[in-house]
Amino acid sequence: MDVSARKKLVSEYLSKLAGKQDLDDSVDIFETGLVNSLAAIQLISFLEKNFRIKVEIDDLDNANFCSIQAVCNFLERKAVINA
Amino acid sequence: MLNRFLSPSQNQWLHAFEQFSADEVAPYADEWDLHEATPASVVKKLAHNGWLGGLAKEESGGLGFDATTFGLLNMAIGAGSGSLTGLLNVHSMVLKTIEDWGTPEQKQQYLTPLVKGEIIGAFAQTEVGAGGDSKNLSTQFVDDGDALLVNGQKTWITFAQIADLFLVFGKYQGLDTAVLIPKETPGFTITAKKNMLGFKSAYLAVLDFVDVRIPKSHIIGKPGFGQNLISNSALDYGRISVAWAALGVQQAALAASARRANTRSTFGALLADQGIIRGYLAEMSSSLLASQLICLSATKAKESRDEDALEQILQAKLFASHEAGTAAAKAVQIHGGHGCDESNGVSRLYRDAKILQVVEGSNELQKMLIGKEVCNRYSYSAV
Ligand SMILES: Cc1cc2nc3c(=O)[nH]c(=O)nc-3n(C[C@H](O)[C@H](O)[C@H](O)COP(=O)(O)OP(=O)(O)OC[C@H]3O[C@@H](n4cnc5c(N)ncnc54)[C@H](O)[C@@H]3O)c2cc1C
Repeated sequence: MDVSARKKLVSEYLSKLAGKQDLDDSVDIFETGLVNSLAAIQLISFLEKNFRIKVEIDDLDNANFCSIQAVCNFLERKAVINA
Repeated sequence: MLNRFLSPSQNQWLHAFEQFSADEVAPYADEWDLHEATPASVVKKLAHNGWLGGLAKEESGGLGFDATTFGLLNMAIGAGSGSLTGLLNVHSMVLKTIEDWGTPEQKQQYLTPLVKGEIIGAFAQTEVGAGGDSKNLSTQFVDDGDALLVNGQKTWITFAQIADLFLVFGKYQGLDTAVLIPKETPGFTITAKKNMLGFKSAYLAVLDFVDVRIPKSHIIGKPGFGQNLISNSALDYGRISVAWAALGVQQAALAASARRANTRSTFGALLADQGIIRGYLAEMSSSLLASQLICLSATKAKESRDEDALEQILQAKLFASHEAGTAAAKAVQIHGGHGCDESNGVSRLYRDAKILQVVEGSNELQKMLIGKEVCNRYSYSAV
């Protein structure tokens, strides 16, 4: 999956999770209270299933999950191979 | 009814679970309830069968149960004793947390004994001042060299009286954090909590931590992820346990009621021949069917990692525990004064069903969470 397709998928998922159609790439969905306390596990499950990665203990950092941009950067770093 | 939706192996497991519950649990549950204790022998038998480690992956030495099979275990045991499902619930939550988020050292030290049931795990989140509102915990973890000093109190901790390892939630530098604390740690005391409404043989306790020193290597996951990841992913299994245990309660309530209706005569006829009583039984049976389907759908969604799995599990917990309360109340009604006797099994079902509506996120909390998901969904789709 190329970078833009990946971003589209992440953007769609986070927007749905946050219930906001035009969710800005940099908006922190946790800080702004857009999502409930279950969002973190839903998001991790989504990433593991769709990008075939394993979220490890070392990855646990809000900076990896808090916005569309953050998640895309995280996936980039995880060097996603395919999907 | 469920049988036709289960795989051959799930059906086999169900048969084994039901046999065990009928032989080893149901005949004794009232006695355990009155004495507020569960014999060590039944815990040992569950461990011996591998069921305390059922949910653990095969590579961890577990039986690798899928979510539905774990549900079936809770259902079968729940038809015998609600309290005993509390053990499956909290022990499995601790075990899965370590399996999913533990460090290699934590796994090495604790996973195998938990899987084998050589040690028992308990889940310690609730405080008198913070139950459903679990963001406001006051238990503190404070730096003390390479260790943490733990101070705080937890209450209503299931199976804590016999547990060896506690998954304890609190704040570390203001961040929600989860820490593993073994029973034998100095400064940690466990006091039995008696006279609960239900779950009477679930060995509840109050935990006190006074300057308890615990190595930092006992932090699980990372500070800041105690609630939103560690607690919630554990509670996903906790809610499956409660939802399916509620099926067991409904089944037992229906069976006891039908048997009573078939044998009790009033006004010259069996209760079974009274329209109102038949109506109750029809409602209980329909609710049971609906609850079975929602629970099955939720665990299947979890197994295939569907996007709505979490929401379905919340819905299953909410629905099945609500229906268990309604069914158990009808069972008491059908038994009349006999049903109001504390030593009568249906009174126990009624009391345990109420507990199922309060624990693992009260049903009001489930509604808040599900409601938010629904609102988000419709606000996004804008149609
Ligand atoms: C038998 C038993 C076993 C338990 N085992 C464990 C265990 O093993 N580990 C553990 O950590 N905890 C355990 N608990 C604690 C349990 O999880 C809590 O009791 C539960 O989360 C509710 O918290 P609370 O009692 O503080 O109620 P509160 O948070 O005080 O809420 C009281 C009532 O008000 C409702 N309510 C609260 N806020 C709102 C709102 N905003 N809108 C609408 N309604 C609201 C709640 O739903 C609840 O019905 C156990 C409890 C029992 C009874």
